[in-house]
Amino acid sequence: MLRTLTWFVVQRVLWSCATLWLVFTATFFLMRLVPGGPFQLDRNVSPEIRRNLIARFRMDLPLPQQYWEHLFRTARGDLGPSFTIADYSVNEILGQGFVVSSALGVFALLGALGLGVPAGVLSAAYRGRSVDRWVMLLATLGIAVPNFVLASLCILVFVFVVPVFPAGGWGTWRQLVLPSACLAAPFAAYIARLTRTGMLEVLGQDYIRLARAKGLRSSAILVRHALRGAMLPVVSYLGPTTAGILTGSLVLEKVFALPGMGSHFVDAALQRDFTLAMGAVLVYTLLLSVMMLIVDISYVLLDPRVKIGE
Amino acid sequence: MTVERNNLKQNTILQVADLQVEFRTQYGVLTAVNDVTFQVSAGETLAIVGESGSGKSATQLAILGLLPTPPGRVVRGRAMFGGEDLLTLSERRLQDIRGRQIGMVFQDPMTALNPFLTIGTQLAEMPRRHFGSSSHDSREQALAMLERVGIVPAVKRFDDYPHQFSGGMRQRVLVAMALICRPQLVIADEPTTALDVSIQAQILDLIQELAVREGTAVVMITHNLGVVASRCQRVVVMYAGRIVEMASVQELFSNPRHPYTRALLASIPRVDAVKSRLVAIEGQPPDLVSLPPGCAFAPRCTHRIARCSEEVPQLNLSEGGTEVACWVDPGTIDSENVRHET
Amino acid sequence: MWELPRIDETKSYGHMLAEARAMRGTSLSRDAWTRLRRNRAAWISAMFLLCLSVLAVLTPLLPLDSPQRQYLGSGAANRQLLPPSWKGGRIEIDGPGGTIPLSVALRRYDELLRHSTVGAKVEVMHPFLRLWHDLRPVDYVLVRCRLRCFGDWCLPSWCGTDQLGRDVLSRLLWGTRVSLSVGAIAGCVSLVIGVFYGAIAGYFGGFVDAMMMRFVDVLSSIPFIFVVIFAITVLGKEEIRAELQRHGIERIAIFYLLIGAIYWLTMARVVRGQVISLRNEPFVEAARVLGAGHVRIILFHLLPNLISIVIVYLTLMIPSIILFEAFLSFLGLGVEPPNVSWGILANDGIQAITPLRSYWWLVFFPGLTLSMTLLALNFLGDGLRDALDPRLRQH
Repeated sequence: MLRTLTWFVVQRVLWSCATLWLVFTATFFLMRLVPGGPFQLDRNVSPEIRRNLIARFRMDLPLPQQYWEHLFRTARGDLGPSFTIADYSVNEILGQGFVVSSALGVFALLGALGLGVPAGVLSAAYRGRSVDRWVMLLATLGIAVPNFVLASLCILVFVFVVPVFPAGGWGTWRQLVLPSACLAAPFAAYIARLTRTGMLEVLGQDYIRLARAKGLRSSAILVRHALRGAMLPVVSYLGPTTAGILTGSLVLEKVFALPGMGSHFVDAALQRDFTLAMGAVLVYTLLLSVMMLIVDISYVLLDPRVKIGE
Repeated sequence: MTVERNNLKQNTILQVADLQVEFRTQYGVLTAVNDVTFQVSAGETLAIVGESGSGKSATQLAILGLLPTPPGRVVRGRAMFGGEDLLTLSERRLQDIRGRQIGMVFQDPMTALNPFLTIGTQLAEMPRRHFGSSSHDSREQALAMLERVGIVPAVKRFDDYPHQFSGGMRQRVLVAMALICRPQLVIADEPTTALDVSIQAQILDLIQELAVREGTAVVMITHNLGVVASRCQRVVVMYAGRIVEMASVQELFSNPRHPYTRALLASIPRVDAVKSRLVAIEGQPPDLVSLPPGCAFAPRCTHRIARCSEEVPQLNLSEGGTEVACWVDPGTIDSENVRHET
Repeated sequence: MWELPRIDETKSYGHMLAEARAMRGTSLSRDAWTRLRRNRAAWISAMFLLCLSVLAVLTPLLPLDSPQRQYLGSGAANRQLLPPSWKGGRIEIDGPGGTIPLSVALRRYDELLRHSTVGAKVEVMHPFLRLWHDLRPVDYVLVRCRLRCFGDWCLPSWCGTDQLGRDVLSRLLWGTRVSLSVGAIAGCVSLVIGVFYGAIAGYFGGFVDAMMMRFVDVLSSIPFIFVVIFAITVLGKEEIRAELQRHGIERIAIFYLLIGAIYWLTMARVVRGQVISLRNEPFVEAARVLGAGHVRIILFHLLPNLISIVIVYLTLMIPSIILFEAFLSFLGLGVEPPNVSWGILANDGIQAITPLRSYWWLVFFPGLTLSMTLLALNFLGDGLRDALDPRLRQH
């Protein structure tokens, strides 16, 4: 078991490396699409920065050699200097942003699970009653309302009508409540729906009837026999959830003026800071691969029928 | 009521009376179980026979309070067990009885076991729940029970998951679950239909052997008359939610009275018959939503008289202790050829 | 040993025929239609989407103010951040001496054209081009019709005005055109790619299938949204934009292609699965026996059987495309002004929020339209799935 698990992890890590390499290559050559190289014609770049960049990216070398040079440096974790923010390396900028973004992301993920799973269980347990109907109505709304719309409504309500939370910024936990709630909402809604469907499916299974025929208490049936099977779809949805939370954080960091990785990435895209944008894409890809790996391992641990590697 | 029936009553452990169960479907309300009355004595094996949709499973689920409600509903009736009416008990009290005093063996061993928990966990949780055994004791009891149903070496299989077992082995595990708390009554709902023919007999023998040893009464729900012949003492034949005939095994096989029972017996393929042809009962099984006003079997019955389609026949004591629900005088049927001899 | 029960032929043919007649059911598509009609949420959603699409198509015909004319003057000419009102207005244009109604401006322009000598280049911009950016020929005709019908009169600012004094209702409807067309066109792009890719992989099977699906796996492990944003960064550079413009490629066309290129993966997987299950059905064998080629079998025998599942997935895919467009436009990376889309409007709303005042109409109306559309598409998708394939039904 342990050996197959290790082998599985090794395989997945290799696969992630391949994905990273693909993304790297794609972004590298996209950057080279700009006629005359990415640093030639931009007016905003001061001569010193340009000289540094050209030296750093070895623009004097032929293209294949540039590519290898850049690939090796990136593989060692050096993403190079920023294109628009003088005296900062991409590593430094992303490092600072990462703290903010990961706080936001972790809060949002926990919020989505902590809200979605109980809501789904409740909804399934009271199937067809008014609790169920309200939860599902909210969930449907939560799925359909985009997070930036929700964010603007939240700002209107909680900053102007009932002033409870600050409108943005970074520093206190109160400033994280609104953004992570808005970020979590659509995923909480989807998880609630998945949990409900999973619960209802499992509760209709023969083995739940057997558990009842065995005289087990309802709570034991719900928690020990039903929840585990019902959680499987939720766990497999955690991968897309992570991806969605990473994407959503781009918007919410902008809306709430949080200095996270997402804001830096969007700013980089708007100001054509190629090195920063490329670094951010690579970091996002890496984060996503790691999360996917964790999700897959927990899936394997949860369902004894799944054979590793299949 | 006869003397014989009163005698039976003294050691009766389960008495079901006037049970009526309805299901609400999109086509209308159907009565799955109608006026069902029977009793089970301690230590006996009773068979409930009927085709699918005849209400045998619904009867059993209603008794245990496992009917899927909303669609299903017990309209009226009593199910006396140990001085209590199972149909009016609270869910908590029922939970104490289920598994502890009444065991269940389900039809399909492939789906009845929880795929996420080991066999051992699923078995050991029963003594822990009902006797409050420690985890060590319940493990010991579970191991002993596994040995007794022929899963050896039990220690080795204890931590295996259901998907690592074959169908027959899983059914053995289910039998172990039904009997581990030494219940007074075991209800086996078609325990062999999902299994290979070669394994069916093994499982049936296992249930019978364990039941005899523990003095447990067994209600065997089946559509297989072969099972009935060799292993049961009494038979209840159901059709369209009603009991049409109730008799001892010997009486039922040697002298079937209800036309439906006869047709059932005739439809068993016989190897020794000279001219063999698969005999089916003519016509369609009844539509439970819109049953005819009289006897539900009347449209398919070759002996029907005018009264059959007007009034529902009640169970009446006939000779040999058999109870039959039929308007036709058995004598007139006897004179005709029984179909499987043609 | 046993014989099959013999059928009494003389008696049963007429009987069987009658039975068959009695049993003749409704056709599958009619059955699905009835089921859809009975699903109230899905039906209302379908009606809503239909209305919205009709409005979007006919926007130029509606008596709306210009979506891009700014009112930054002083006094009555300043219409910045006005709340929703019921007072009707007049469509105007900045003339040489103050504002003049559009009809007057149009008359002057025509006169100018008539009086100018043949062949001389007219230096004055057509009034329409100053009020509506980039009118297509059909839209041009519609605007003409609108002027014929309503004259200079235009609807009141039911949804208020924005920071530059532009009419939000008008911008909302013109934005609907853009957002819905992105959804529809990008949806079709990914539909075509996905269906053909999946059908080919599933139909040929074996090595071809393995390779094609491996490729899909590789692609789906890439976080495309970030790569797309990076690509937009590059494509947004002036030199590249100029280069593309020279080839007649607009940014929005690249947008359609980029989005279409991401969302086909799921469709390809679904179609492949279906094709594999259909590949060995007798009707395909029969077509093969009759000498049909691969192309013919895929196009005329397999694809028609996939229509229902493809429709379902398309309906569920379009909202995510619309959302993606809104997301990018919100960040300023999507549709560019003077074009309008829901994402841009939502961003305008957020930008207008100041610590002192909130201009709720700027946030509320675009958000409501976007959310209702996504909600309706989700309901419709679920309803279609239930109607077309009851087996897929969830609880």
